Amino acid sequence: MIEVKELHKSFDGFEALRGLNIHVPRGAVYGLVGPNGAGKSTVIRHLAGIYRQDSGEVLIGGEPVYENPAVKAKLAYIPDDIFYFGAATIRDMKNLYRAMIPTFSDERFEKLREAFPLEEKRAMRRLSKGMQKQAAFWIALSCCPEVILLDEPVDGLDPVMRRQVWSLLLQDVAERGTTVLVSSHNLRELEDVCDHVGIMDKGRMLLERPLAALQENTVKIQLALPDGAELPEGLDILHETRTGRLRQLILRGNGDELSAKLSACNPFFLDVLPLSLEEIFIYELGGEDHEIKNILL
Amino acid sequence: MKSRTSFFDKRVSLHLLRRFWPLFLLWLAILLLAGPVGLNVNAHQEPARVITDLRSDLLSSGRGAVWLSALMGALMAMSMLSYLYFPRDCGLINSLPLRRETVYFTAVLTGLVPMLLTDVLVFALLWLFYGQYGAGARYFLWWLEMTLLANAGFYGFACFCGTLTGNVLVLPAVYVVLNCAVAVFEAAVRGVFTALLYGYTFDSLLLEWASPLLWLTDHAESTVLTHMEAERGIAADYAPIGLGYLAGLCAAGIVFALLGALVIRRRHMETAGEVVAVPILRPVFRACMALGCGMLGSMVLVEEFLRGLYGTGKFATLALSMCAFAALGWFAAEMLMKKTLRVFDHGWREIGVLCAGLLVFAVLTKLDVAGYETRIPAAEDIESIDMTYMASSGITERESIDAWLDFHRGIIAHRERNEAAESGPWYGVPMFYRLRDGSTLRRFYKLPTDNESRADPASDIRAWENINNLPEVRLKRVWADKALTADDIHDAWIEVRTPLDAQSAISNHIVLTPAQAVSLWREGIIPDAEAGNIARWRIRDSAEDDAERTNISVAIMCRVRREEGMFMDHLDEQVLFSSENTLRWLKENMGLTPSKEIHGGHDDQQLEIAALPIEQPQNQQQ
Repeated sequence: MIEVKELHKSFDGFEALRGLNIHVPRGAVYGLVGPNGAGKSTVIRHLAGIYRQDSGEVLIGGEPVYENPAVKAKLAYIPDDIFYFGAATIRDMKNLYRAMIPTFSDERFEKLREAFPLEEKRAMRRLSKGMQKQAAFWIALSCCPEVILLDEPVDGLDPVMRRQVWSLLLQDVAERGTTVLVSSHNLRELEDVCDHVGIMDKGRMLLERPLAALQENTVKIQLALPDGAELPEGLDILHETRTGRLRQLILRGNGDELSAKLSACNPFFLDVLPLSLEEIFIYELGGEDHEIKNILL
Repeated sequence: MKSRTSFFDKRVSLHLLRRFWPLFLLWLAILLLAGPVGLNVNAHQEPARVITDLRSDLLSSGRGAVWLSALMGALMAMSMLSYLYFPRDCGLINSLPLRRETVYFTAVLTGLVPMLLTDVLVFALLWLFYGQYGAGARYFLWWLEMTLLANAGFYGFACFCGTLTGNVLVLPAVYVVLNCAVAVFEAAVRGVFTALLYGYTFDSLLLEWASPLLWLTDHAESTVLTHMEAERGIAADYAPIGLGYLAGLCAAGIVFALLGALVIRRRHMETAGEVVAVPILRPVFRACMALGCGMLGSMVLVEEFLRGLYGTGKFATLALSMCAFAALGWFAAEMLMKKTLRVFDHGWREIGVLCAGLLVFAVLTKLDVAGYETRIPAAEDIESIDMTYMASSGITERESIDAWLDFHRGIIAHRERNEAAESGPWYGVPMFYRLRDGSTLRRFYKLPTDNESRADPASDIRAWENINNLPEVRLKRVWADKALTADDIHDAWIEVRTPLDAQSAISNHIVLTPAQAVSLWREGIIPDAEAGNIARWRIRDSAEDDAERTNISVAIMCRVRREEGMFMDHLDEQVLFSSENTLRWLKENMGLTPSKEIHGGHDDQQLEIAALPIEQPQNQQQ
């Protein structure tokens, strides 16, 4: 549904995106993660049709997005810093989107009023950041889009509203096959909603996979080996820590296969633990100058 | 599948109208004040006066509306294109399913059409309230024409300026600068020529037409086709100057507005907030700032603050200050664009190239590679020479031309002395040669008028005195080549200074009728001028000259009709004791006898003197 091919973008000589590739299947909830300055917001703005790429392709439904009103009519974009005009009220913004988006549903807007208890006549600029986000979700979901682009969507929302918002989004995904691309630093939350993940850094995609495959292919193993025993050859170790005899390894590979391989060393102790998305993120980026350093205080 | 192209979106237009409707109300209020509300017709006056005043006021109001359009154009562009300047607005508009050109053209048209409709509305009100006074429909139509054309022209150009920048506060600055840039740049170049080329002068800027604000300042007026004669029931008739120019301005505005769409295509939306929004224009902006500051700054420094400099010292100061100001201009541009003061660590190569260009320009000018300073036309090539400060036509007689050429050669030969004395008292001498091949040659020299120069018979200023006393020049000064009639006379009087007491005198004005003025001129002034006994021109006072002057002077103002319209010319001569014909006429017709010139005094007084009747030729009787 969403495709980015060899996307390059520079700002005043600084190369923000360096041949980025993204593939998001239809109906997926795609989590775009990366450290600060990776280029996540930049690529999302390309997908929203705000930026023009220096080179490469940005496609939604096989069509280029830039200067394509037909494609943009199917998108909803919620930026980190909410868009609105000067003294516009929620109603003004709703009327604007209603006029612009053919699929805008007044019925849905009314139904969602319960979920978003905001006064329509209030000026957007007078709302708190969280309330502005709520207003943005209210209007975006009422547009019944095929694709939703979210940049730090739940930042500023209280836990109840977060759950509410994710629930509504996933409902749309399930009922209408909406494709969602979300960028966030809150990896714990993304883990619960995303089925695809892309990890990017310094303008490039490091890793892009279905979440299940990612979790299956990266494991945490704790083991204790007898004296003199060494780890077998050929292990793709992302990270290793030692406390006495106890070793904690973060390995790339299938958990069962690795377990069988390590068992051959006759360890005193062997345990395979699940990795969270946050841990995958940290350890995948470990080779890219983002190692977590142990700080002794 | 891409949507079809459309250049207007009703939804965006309605949104803009809802947001900025107070601006349209403001324009309506301004036009009402400049138009119907501001006009003041006093219907109790005689009809010719009423019509004359109304016609004049309508044209003034139209000219006022032109200037207000210049201001309103910028304000409207700032509003309609505001989505380009704030990242939030920019992101919102560009995330909507709209093409950029659609939004741009919609914004442009949404600003323009209501303004034009407002112009038509106010025109209708003007006609409704003032059409009854008989000023004539064309004056109202001229008002409408000026307003519509100026609106479209200035607004279209302001929209183009709006696409060049990402900062709403920079738009009016860009608008004003670009409105004046061409003429100012030409003036700066000519200023350098004036500073470095001996005798350089120019009448008007060739490219002033490309700077509307400056052109309108100099040219927006009305010519007088006929003067009012209320007692005969004739109202004055006028014609506005510059309607053709405004039509060109309108066309240019439309073209620039269209160019703005091309700029919008190239523009990146992430430039919202930046001073120069189009990357390719950034080096252009720096270069223009550098060159502009270099030339203007150095010229102002040398011509205003260091006037005592001349020759090599002046050139060196000008050249060095050009480079210094150019560097300042470059860094100022970079500071504006980067929004930081830390810009001095780069750009030196670019500055070096620009300074080298300025220095080459200055050196070539100083070396006078075109031979400007020494060019004097041959006598046989000259059709006439204008001494343009005078209200007379050019000299044409060979004897006068030869004398003039000698005078011109002398000025060039004394260049160093003349330039060195510029910081002291000087007299400006303009020269305007009309050549037989249709070309012209113009010069201006400053001749020192210190006591030493005045006393030296070989000085240029004394030579200038001699030129002014050539027979042909003297006769032209008193309009000997005119066929003056009473109808041409606007005003005429004799001034007689009489002593009040030992230290002071009083000036008495005796008004002459047009017939008397013509008679005095024909029978007194012309024959005396032919004999060299009046209309003498002196650069210095001497006891001998003082002794020759009487306490009587004659002033005549007459109307002159030229292609451009009606003008006034004036003659003001002091009567000498040797002005026999003039003195005879004054005695016979006004009963006046002269006494010696009296200096000092204060009050003017209209003196009632019973003028003796004069016998007029039949064809001059009123």
